[in-house]
Amino acid sequence: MNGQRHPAGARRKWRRGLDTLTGSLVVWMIFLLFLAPYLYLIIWSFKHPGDIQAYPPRFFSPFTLLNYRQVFEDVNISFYLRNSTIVATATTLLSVLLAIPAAYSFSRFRFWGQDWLAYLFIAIMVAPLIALVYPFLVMANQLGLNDSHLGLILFYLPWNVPFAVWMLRTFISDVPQELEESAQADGCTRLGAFGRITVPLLLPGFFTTGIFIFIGAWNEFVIAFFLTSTKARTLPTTIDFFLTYGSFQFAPMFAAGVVGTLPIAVCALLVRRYYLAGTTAGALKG
Amino acid sequence: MDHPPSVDDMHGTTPNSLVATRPNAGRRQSLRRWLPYLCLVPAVITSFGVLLYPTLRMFQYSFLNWSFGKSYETAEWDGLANYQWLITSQSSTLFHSLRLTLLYAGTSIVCELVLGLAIAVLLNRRHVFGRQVVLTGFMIPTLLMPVMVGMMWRMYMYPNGMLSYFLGLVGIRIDWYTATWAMPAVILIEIWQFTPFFVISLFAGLRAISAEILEAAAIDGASGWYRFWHISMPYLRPIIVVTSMIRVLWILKSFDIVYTMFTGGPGSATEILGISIYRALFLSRNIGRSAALSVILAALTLLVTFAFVRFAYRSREVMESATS
Repeated sequence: MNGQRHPAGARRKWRRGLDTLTGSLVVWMIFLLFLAPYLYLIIWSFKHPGDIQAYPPRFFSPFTLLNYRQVFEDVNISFYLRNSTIVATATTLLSVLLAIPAAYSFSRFRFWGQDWLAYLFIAIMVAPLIALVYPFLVMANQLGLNDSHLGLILFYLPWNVPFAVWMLRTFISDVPQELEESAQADGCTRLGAFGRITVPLLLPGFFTTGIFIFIGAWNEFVIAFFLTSTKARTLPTTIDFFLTYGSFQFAPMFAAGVVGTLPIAVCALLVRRYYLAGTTAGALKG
Repeated sequence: MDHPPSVDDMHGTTPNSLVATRPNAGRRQSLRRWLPYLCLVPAVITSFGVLLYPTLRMFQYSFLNWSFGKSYETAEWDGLANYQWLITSQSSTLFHSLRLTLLYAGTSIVCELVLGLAIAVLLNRRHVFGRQVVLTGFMIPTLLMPVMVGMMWRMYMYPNGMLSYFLGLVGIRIDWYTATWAMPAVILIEIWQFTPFFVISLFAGLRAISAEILEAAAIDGASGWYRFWHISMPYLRPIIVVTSMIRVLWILKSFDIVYTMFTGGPGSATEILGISIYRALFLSRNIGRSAALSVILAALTLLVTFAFVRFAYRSREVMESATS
């Protein structure tokens, strides 16, 4: 085609370029509008308390780490970060490990009652957390698990294990069964075939499922808020400090917000490809 | 579920000659039959097992006349009195909460859908600079810690906050912390947080529509609008329904953001069901009523989930092609 030489072709090309430009501009404006509150949180966390509360807002003001120092020294946020990390990591590892056999069973066998068991898992997954807070409180007291990491982890499992089963089921189904069968034909046991052939192929699946569970456990507020007081308190519950200390404290709040959410924003980058699968299944989680 | 028939299916129940001649064939055989169930045991114990006791307790409490300050032993069985109170009493907020939830879900989902669809269509143009960056960035709001989202918006919407400043520039002055504006504020946050979810799922749906069909329609003279309504929309419909149902579930159980923004106030302006449960428990200190509310919330959630599962299974192929 020699359309490029033709004036009409050149005009079309130019118009298409302009089209792309305006389209991209509109998309980016909307995008920045959506990101604005979060960017505000991040940028303002590096301002002096006086500048933070100034009105009209001071867009350009000196950079400071004062708020972060306050959050780490006065509120001792690293302690709550530690608790959050322990609870979220343990929940993630346990949920994935406990879910593997069930996910394997759902994707590799056909058995009586399979569909109903799958529904049962969904029904468990959707149980609303807030509805069960008091019974959990009673149960934790009876078991002596109040305000402990173990209690939180135990109570996070019912939501995350079914989620992991749900996610891993699809990942395992994606690995052709023939691979396992040929390994079994070569003398591997069923478990050996699964461990040697399927598991290495499942690593991205474990990782994705794990990240989503980690995010959920890291963000969880209701159970953590009512079941912990001092020893096992996790990061989201520290919000209470800033809410109830006389007047509402702005400056350290910004820094705490960034500390609490930045790891998750990084996680978002890691699970980009599986975002939809994870959030759709995770949506069911109470 | 659509699994390829496995070797076990074909030979498991009818032992073939080779297996039958082995000495411990009987044991192997029964192991094979029970293996699928055995594999489920760890997951069932840690989910169903842990949840069973508290759930039964929740039911039991909902029939008790029991409040804080009264020991469990002295709490007496009260039949359906708690439910009756919730439905008939003047001071019950049950219907208020349900109405709020309906308003909350309806308004936010419609806005999210319209906005999300518009943005997804914009993103689906042939060339968009930094499309991947935008898509990835859009994942952030949904994944952020809800409590921090509430906090962030609380600061953003403060009378001296950034949003007030920007709205002030165009001459709008809104005090979000009033009974009139508190619920719109919650809905606005919700729209902010979950429009991106619609964008991403609808964009995936648009991507999955084969370009050939659209091109063929264009060659046949169909206008862009016609193509959108008659080719893209029917394809997107199951995605829209599933995504909206997910949102209904989310909204039913939402608690964190409303709690950090307004704690249900001012008054009961933002007292959605989750907040009602919390208030009945920690403000009215009535365990029985709180449990009854919990049962109602759980029942509603299950109902929506059931509808969701029924629908999602029916349109599974579409969902799978869109989400993978």
